[in-house]
Amino acid sequence: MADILIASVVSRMASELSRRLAGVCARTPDSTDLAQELAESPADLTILDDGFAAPHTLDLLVELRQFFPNLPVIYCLDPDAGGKLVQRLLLELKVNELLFHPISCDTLAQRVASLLGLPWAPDDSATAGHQAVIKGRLAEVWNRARSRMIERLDVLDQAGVALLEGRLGSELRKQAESDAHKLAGSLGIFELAAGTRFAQEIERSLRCDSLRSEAQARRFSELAAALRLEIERSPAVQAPWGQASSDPGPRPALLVGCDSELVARLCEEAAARGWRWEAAPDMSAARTVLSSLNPSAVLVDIDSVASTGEPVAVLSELSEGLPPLPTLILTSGGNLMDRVEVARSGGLGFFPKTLPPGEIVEAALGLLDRLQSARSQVLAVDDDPVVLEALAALLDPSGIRLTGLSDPLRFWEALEGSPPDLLVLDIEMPSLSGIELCRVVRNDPRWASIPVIFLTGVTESGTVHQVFASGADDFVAKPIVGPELVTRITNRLERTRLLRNVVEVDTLSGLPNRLKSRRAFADFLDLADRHGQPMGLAVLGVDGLGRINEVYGQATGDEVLRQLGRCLRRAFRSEEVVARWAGNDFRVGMYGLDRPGSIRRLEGVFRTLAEQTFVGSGMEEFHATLSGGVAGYPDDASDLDGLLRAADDARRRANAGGVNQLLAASFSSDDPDGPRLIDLAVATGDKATASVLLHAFESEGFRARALRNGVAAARMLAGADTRLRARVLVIDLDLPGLDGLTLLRQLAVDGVLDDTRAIVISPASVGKEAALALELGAGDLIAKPFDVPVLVKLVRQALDSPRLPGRSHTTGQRHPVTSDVTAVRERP
Amino acid sequence: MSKRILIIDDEEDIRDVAQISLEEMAGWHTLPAVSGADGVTCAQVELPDAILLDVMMPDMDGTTVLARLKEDRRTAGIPVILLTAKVQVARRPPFGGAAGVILKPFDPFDLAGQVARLLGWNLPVPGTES
Repeated sequence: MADILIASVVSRMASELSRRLAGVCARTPDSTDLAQELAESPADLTILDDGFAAPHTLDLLVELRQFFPNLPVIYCLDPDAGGKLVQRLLLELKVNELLFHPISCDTLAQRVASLLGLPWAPDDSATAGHQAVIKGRLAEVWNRARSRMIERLDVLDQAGVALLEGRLGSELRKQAESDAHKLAGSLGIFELAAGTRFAQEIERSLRCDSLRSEAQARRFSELAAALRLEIERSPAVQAPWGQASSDPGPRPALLVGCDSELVARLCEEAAARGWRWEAAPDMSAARTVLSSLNPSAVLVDIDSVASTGEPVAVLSELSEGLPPLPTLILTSGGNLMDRVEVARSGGLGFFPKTLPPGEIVEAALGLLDRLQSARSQVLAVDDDPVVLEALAALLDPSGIRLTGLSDPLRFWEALEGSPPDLLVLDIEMPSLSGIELCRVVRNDPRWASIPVIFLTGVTESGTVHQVFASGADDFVAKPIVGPELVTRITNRLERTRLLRNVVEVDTLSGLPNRLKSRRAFADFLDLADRHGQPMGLAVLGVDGLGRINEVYGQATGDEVLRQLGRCLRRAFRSEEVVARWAGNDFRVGMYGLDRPGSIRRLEGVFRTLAEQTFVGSGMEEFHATLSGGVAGYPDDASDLDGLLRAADDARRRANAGGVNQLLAASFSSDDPDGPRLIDLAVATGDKATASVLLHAFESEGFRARALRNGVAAARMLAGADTRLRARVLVIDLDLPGLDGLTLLRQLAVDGVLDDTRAIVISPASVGKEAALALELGAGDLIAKPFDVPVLVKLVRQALDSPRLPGRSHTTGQRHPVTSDVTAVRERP
Repeated sequence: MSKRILIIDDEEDIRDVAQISLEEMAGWHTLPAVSGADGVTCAQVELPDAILLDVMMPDMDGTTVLARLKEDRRTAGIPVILLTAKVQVARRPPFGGAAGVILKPFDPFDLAGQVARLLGWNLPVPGTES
């Protein structure tokens, strides 16, 4: 009798093994005695689960190996385990088999049997593959049934409320009892055993008429809530059932710091899209669940998190993990921290909390999709779902996404649907053989160069020859030896990537070239358009590159360009697009940043490059500077070509204006629907003041506009349909229509005051109104009666100041940076 | 020839799951009936090899259906298995002439096995008979 020691978190492993394999005795020790038991009574085979005595399971194995270097060991670990750990287990610790969770009992039994030389047959009730088919069909039923279950829950909730209010009528009671009964009878079928228990208790309490006291009523509501939670998360059913071989869906997302109402609405919307969201009330709670939940993204309510800690630190913490965690920011707007800071510390996108929850979820999905597409895609065709499942689990840790296809007839559809980077084909399949598929693929010029690996049980030379003749690149024999297959696949992918880089990456700067980046710009712009996000686009180059080449030598010029490439790569994350389009033409797309934000983001790059000392061919030291232009979507243009044109135009003006200049696209918008960018807006009912201001500044070339009514001003400057964006805004508190304070408040809420400087004309320089205006974010205040020249001076100062006061990170500014060239023109 | 099982249950989800379980696990053919009355008629016309009968249904409950089936000469000999979420029913044999009781929620991977055990049938190897 073979003795197996199992140290696993999956409790049924031992019983399943004993049941499936004749002549096997499996035992499970207590985790505290494990070390002792391993040392004292070694088994014929040891199965160790990484999570069993975490984090010390590996230490146990190291110890075990010291005493028993040759004892067969199966090690189970999470599919997300790092490559280093896997390597160590296989090479150094000589683990005989690695299995990744979730582990099917069939797989385990098979491996154990082969290691111990025992006879093995698939489970007698059904083969695992067959089970997968059933699970797939059951998952479909569940997806249909789920909404009905939730309707029943609604009845239970109604009954719960009625109970608490002491008015549960007999009809509702009967209905609730029947619904609870049905839930009890069906949830367990869908692997929601806990749900069945809750429903049974609810049914019992309704039947036994034991709901008189308030405590009992409260218990009822608690049970109903627990039941809802159970059904709404229902991952046990959706994840392992049927979907494993195709798209496993996104991993859960984690919400941090949102209030419970928002959490509930977001989770509901996410669930409706097959996505599970979990919530943590604050950062410390988030930290504890991060590793176990392994979320695909984190959404942070920055307002609540900011109140308890440094928001930038929080973001950095999340985004600096490996792999970095995509982080999205939820904010109520108003006094939100600088978008630039957020972008710099790893935030991916912003969502106002006022956005409908459905849109937030959609936007998050869109961003994740974009990130996901950066991962390599493998399409595998095999009629055995078990093989597909195993492949997916093997490849996932290497960051490779597997699309499994068990029906070869749907091959073409899958290939065109999401173009893979590599194909894995099975030779023998019922309807179409892999060899036939491979020939078809090779005959299409679009797919002529995609790597194809065959996976098969047949290894006789005739077949092998046929496989290579059909155009295959590699051949791997079944049964799959995990690490071998993974290595072969990653090698092939790496080689393809290198080849593609030749075409898509500029060798001097290491940045993507025009071909590749244009596509990425367009993708991000599309994303920005769908989710109402801004996007900045910059065109940059080294000042006087021709002269540098001439004076210091071509090699030195190249070095400057290489350095700029390095600065840009370092400054921007992968979700932002940095590219070199031509010799001295660098482009940066900044998703989620508007024009002023983009400028601020780029200042760092300007500074870093300016601080570098270059050495010419004659050992002479010199410094290089940059100039460029920035355009913002949707302010400056509504499409990529328009944006590029606007940025190019701004760069031309910057170059004409001297060196070390970063200019924003001026108001020459080719988008008649977008908001107009002006320098000055004057909101006052006082015609004399308005006309004096307009006259004074328009004559100097500034674009100015008067708004004589508060309602019109609010409509033009704030809200979803902003028509006008002004750099400086003069507001008379005594404004007809809508009073100035209300207008100011609206602007503050909409975040307009983040990049607009407001000067308030107040009836008095002290008093409640004045204080309130300053508190709301007015930059300056002038009291009636005032000297018009004083107001003109105030406005001029505001227009001259390159950035807003209160933007605390004013760093020693070496180059003039302005949001519009017209503002720095010389005045008489 | 493959066995034919009549499933009488007012809940669509349960009928679907039972159908998938029996078809996939045992290769049996299933006939769905959406209510007690529907089930009685269907049993008289189709004369299935066995009947899975839900006890709690709105219009005609399971015990009434069972009585009707037993009254009718044509259907009296067909073995009936009750499906119920009520533990009390399951503990109170002989269930008015039923061949057995299967408790809800059932394990979809074992439903065919339970039916076969109650009726003394051999469970066919999956895939061979479908």
